[in-house]
Amino acid sequence: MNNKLYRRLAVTNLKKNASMMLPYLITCVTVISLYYIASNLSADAGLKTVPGGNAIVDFMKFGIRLFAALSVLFLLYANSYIMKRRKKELGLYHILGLEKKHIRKVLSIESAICSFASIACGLIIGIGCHPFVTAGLTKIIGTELPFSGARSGPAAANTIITFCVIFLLIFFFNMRQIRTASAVELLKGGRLGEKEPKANWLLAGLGAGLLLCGYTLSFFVHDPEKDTDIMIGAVVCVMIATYLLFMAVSIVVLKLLRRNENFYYKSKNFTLISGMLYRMKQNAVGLSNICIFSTATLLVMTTTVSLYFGINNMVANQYHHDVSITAEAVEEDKLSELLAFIEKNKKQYSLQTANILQYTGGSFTEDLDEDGESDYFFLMPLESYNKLTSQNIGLAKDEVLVYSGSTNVHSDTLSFAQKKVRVKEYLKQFPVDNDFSGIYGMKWLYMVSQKDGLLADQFGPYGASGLHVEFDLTGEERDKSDFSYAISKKAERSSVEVNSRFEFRDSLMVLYGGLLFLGMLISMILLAKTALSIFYKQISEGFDDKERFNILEKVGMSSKEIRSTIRRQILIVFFSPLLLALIHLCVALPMVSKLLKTTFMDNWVIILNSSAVSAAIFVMIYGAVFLLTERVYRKIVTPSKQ
Amino acid sequence: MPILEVKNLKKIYQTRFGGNQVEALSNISFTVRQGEYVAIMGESGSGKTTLLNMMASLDRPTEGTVLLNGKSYADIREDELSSFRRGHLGFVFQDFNLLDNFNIKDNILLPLVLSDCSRKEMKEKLLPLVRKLGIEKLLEKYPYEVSGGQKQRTAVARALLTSPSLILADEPTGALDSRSSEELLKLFDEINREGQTIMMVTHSVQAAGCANRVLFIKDGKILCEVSKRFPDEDIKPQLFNVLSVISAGGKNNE
Ligand SMILES: Nc1ncnc2c1ncn2[C@@H]1O[C@H](COP(=O)(O)OP(=O)(O)OP(=O)(O)O)[C@@H](O)[C@H]1O
Ligand SMILES: [Mg+2]
Repeated sequence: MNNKLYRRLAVTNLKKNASMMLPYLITCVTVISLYYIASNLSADAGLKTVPGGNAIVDFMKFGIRLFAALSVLFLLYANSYIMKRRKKELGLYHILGLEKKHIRKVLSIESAICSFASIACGLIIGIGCHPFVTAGLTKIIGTELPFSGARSGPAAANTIITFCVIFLLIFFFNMRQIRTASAVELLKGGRLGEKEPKANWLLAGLGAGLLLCGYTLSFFVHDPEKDTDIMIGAVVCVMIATYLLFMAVSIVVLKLLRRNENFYYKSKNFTLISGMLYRMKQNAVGLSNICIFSTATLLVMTTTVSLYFGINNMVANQYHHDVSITAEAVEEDKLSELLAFIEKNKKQYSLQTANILQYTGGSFTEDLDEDGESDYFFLMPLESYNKLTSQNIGLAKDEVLVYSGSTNVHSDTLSFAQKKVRVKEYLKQFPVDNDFSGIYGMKWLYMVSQKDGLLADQFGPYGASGLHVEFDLTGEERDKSDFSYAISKKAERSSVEVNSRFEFRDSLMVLYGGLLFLGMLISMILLAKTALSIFYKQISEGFDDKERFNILEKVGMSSKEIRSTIRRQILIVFFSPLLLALIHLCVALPMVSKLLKTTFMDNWVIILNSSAVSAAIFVMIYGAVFLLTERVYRKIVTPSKQ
Repeated sequence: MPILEVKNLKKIYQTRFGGNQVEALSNISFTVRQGEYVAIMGESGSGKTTLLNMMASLDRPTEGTVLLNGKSYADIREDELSSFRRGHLGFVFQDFNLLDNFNIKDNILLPLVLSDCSRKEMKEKLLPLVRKLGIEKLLEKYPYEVSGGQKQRTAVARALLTSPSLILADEPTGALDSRSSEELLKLFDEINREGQTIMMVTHSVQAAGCANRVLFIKDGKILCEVSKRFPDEDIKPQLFNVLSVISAGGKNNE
């Protein structure tokens, strides 16, 4: 045979299998274009100049690795379905006298064509979409991005190389399948009489137990940073339980239903239950995979959306005033200079200052209770406290006032660097409220002491005598932001530290905007691949089910009944993994919210809304895939009428 | 009154691409009386399966009518057709058409379940039937665990379960070895003696010899028919005769 003949054979094969190949190729193209976009962003020099842009670059670098790994996994999976269907056709060639090495040659031409076409299309779409993507990213981040250029050679090269390797991997996988298969096997295409699955009560019980265990564990996560073991344990339990649920519990349930004769011997349950039972054995792993990936997609969507829309919440939780300025005692001149600048220029921005809070003090870490655990506290001189509260309280040399924001109880004498001080009073409230620690829920202790008292040596020039000024701005948001930046700029060269809500919010926007963007890319890829695998699973079943429904029609099942059986069967197959994924998501929400709290995001409403919106979008797209699949499946299965 | 009347039946297949038309049946008429056992013989491609499909209401004729118990198939609405088929017809196919995912018992019960019969009725009908067919020990087995002959007996049980007016069989012995074929033919003979009307398409003279009446089809037309004059008459020599004439005629026509 000459090469031309091979090529012709390959092309006709592709045409004949077009409906089977197309979803696969579309997914390949989608993945390749997303991969190109992500790798282009990660290589973008302009992005690095934006404050926080490095984080986006890191996200994208992580993203492209993830995409590559997921691509290998899913494309192999989808490809194995295609190969299973095609085994029969290839077996026929074999019988007709084509040797395996000829078949290999035809297949290699086919996959060369497919790979080239999908990489080319993917790159073209990726390059075409790039301007829109950067525009979208700019909008999400809220900062103008100085992108260096739309096209990038290294990113394209990276994409081409990566996917060539992936396609080569898939090709070798196919070759191995052909080499190991005998002619008869090829002809039968893996359709040998299958035994009915056995109900394994032990595994089913284990599955239910593990699920319960995983769910319970997730509620025991209090501090995600300390309880990582519990968290990982919960995730692993739930993952194993998912597999067991689909593999063992489903079969046990179906068998129980079948044993209930009054239920089973009804026309609407009869074919459905036996069909599901028969299917479950081959499908359990596929359905579990789909469930786990759906859960992952939902979690990625929920967290990234919550983080992005929770930015205001995080800012409010960490900044009690619009602007806070800190300076060492020795920098008093610089501070006054800055305050004068603020006073002078606020009119220019048509702003007013409000809630001005000026105090001195410094933060310390000491084991106050002598219980081996450090306590974080802020020490403030008495005169500053008196001034803040407009009181005139007096304290003995060894006396302190203490305010504890948390519920932790402390004793009446506290030890402080080998000195013992008496607590004169535990204050009910304190004028200053700050979370300097950067750990959510970690409240500071506030301690007030006389400057020349027992703790006098703590009030040195770099101790508890730091100067703090906090205030809010009233006026237009835009002006407030501009003014904050102006203040920061003014203080840039001195050691006076200026923090403002606006700068903080902008840095968070870049960080979580980038994360949201990555989350969207990941969700898209996961969704595309979940849809792809469920589509192929169902379609390949369609070819097997065709005969069954043919027989059923002859025996007297109306086309209406056949349609409804098909619909319910696909509904169950489609939506059982989704349902379980949604349950996983609901149960995981408390854990997710605790994770989010490490970033000071503690708004339940936002988390709930984010997960609801994510779930809604997911269900919608999933539903669309369902409708498409059902149509194609029905076309395959229902006997065509003249 | 005849149980089945076929009047001027015509079927034209439109081939999928282009206007090529195949006339599979042209102007076929005959009647079947209650309790008859009719065989249809003919060469491959002569239209036997097409005719059976018309009588089974699985396919609609281009022209002509089929009446079962005086009721025309054309008057039955599409959505009632399957329940009509379930209630009045029983099928036995060459390749058994059993469902892999049902055990033998459920395969047999299928038509009754589709009609939503009560469990009591199912049990009452099932047991005597499977005993008669000698498959009562196989009820819990699956089709891939039993022999071809047992599969065909399962299919017969499924066809008989609804006490249909007519049993339609398309080459029921086609996939069976000679002993299983003989057993099946004996079974058909037996149920026919009990009054069951049977219509069977077959290539085998052995099988057709069991019927009371044999119709010969060629090119979509009924060529001739052979009937037994008394119940146990051996009509096989006659059948051989007709067949040789048909094949010789086919050559002469060329
Ligand atoms: N669906 C169809 N579309 C087009 N032509 C058809 C179709 N079904 C059958 N035919 C044609 O109608 C004619 C009769 O076919 P039929 O299947 O009835 O033959 P048969 O007598 O059952 O043959 P065999 O003994 O081989 O089963 C044949 O020429 C066949 O090609
Ligand atoms: Mg036929």
